Amino acid sequence: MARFEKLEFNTQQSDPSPAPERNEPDPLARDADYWMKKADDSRRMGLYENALKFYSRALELDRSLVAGWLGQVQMLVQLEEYPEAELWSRKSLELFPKNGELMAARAQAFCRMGDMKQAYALCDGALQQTGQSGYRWLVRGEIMVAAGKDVDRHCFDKAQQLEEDWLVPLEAARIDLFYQRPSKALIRIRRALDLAPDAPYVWFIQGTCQAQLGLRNAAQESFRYCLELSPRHADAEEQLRRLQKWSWSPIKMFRRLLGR
Amino acid sequence: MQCVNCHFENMPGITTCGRCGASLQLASAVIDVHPPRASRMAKRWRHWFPLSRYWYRLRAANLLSRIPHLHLHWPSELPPVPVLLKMIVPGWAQWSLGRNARAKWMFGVYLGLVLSSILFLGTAIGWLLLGLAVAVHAASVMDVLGTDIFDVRQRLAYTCAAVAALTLLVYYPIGRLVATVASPQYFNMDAPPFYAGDVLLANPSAYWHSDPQPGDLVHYELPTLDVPIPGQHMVYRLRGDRIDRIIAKDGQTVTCSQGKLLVDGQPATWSPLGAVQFADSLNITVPANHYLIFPSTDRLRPDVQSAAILIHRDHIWGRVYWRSQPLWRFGPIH
Repeated sequence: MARFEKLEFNTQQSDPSPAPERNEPDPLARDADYWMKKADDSRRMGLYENALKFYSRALELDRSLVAGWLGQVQMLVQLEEYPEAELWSRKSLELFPKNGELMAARAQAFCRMGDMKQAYALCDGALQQTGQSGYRWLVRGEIMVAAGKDVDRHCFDKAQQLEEDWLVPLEAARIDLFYQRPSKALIRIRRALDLAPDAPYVWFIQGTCQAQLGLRNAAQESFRYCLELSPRHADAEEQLRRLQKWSWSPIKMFRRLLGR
Repeated sequence: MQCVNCHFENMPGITTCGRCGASLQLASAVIDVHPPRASRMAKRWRHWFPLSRYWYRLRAANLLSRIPHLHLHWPSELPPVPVLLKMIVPGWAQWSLGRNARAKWMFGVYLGLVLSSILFLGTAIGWLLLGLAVAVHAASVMDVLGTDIFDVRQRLAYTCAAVAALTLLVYYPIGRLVATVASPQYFNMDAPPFYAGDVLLANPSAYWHSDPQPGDLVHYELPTLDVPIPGQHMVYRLRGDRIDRIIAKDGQTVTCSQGKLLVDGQPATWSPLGAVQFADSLNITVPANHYLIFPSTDRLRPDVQSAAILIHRDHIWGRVYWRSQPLWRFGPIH
């Protein structure tokens, strides 16, 4: 074996592939709950595309997960694919008739498409079903906002009372942002920030609200916090770069007036 | 078995929930779990043109219920019958009621529009001018009948009714009548001596009581005709309607000698509209109820242009007599 004695083996060489996380289970042992957890994490990070994929993975393993179907519809709405969300919620309701959350999700899709009549009917139906959830009241609040009624605040507060999760005020803020109400969204997002000051996505949404309100310095600060918590947050980087290069132009002014 | 949807405890062996109807075997069911997705282009399109939102907004506005009810009863005090009859000419009724200035204006504007529309007959501008003339006519009718109608929407409804009545009772019959003597034929491609944009007027009633004669410029329908192209395994298919001159009528014999066309042995009085090279082999006796025409206005190969075609009497639609467009070539056609 003498000829092998001069071979050099780097005993301290590090493995280029990242070490598997200790919490990560064996790929074969990944069950529906694991993918649901991944989907929820992605959703809280604002990665709705990933969340949608993870919900689908979870459903591949267990099709009876109502939360998976609901999550898919919610993600489609967040990704602004409203006709698809409506179609998918209809299919989900065929599998789980009279499910309050799915009815609310369908109402949200209709509301975003502008069909307020259907949205009202479905939301009323969702609230009449057994059980209660923050999401149903969130959708109710969104319908109120879309209809221009000033009672949305009560609906969002009710949603917050039912679920002490920071995701509720965050999604309420996103609804306000969607309907071009950044000042109201800022109030909601601050509540989310009180509950989860270490969530980068909350900082990102706060920065977005502040940027829309013209609070440039505050928005930059929020995006910086977001990047401190999540250094690879591409959207925050982009927004920060845009704010740093901010300059006045008639086209930008026009786009801002149009809300585009 | 507990239902995943409503948490109702069902009896073992049951496949659907007794309370909500959800399947109890969903966990192992074969269902597509991947939702449909919108393409990036579709999302962008929806963002810029939220058509569904506009549609639902329109539907929610319930526009139909907002349209005023059309109480199209006759006005309480109708003008006398002679005045009503005079409404057939804009301004005439006003003249008889003593509103002379208004009558002159209405008639003058109407006459100008009608004459202009006749000048541009067969073109888009002509139709536009005619529409304006009808609108002026409807305004003159409303000026007599609608003096006590002050509500804008109701006035609009009455004006629409007046336009519909005038179109049905006056302009449609006049249009049908005019079409029997002046049917515009629009050229959308060059066919010397005609060019793209030319508008020719044909008289469809010209041969109702008489027969076409050699020398007449006619609008005719070409029967489907396959003309072989020499030296190639191809045929040129002729069909559709055309305009050209009649060279010979039934009973006449058409021949060609040294490139000159002969009818019954005499040099032909008339020649086709376009330049044609006649074949020396030409020797045709026109059968009964047929006319001989060379399709010379078509942009064909010379060998196809020289193909003499027999057109049945029924396929001659009318006599072409006038070129109305363009204006710098306005005038009769010979």
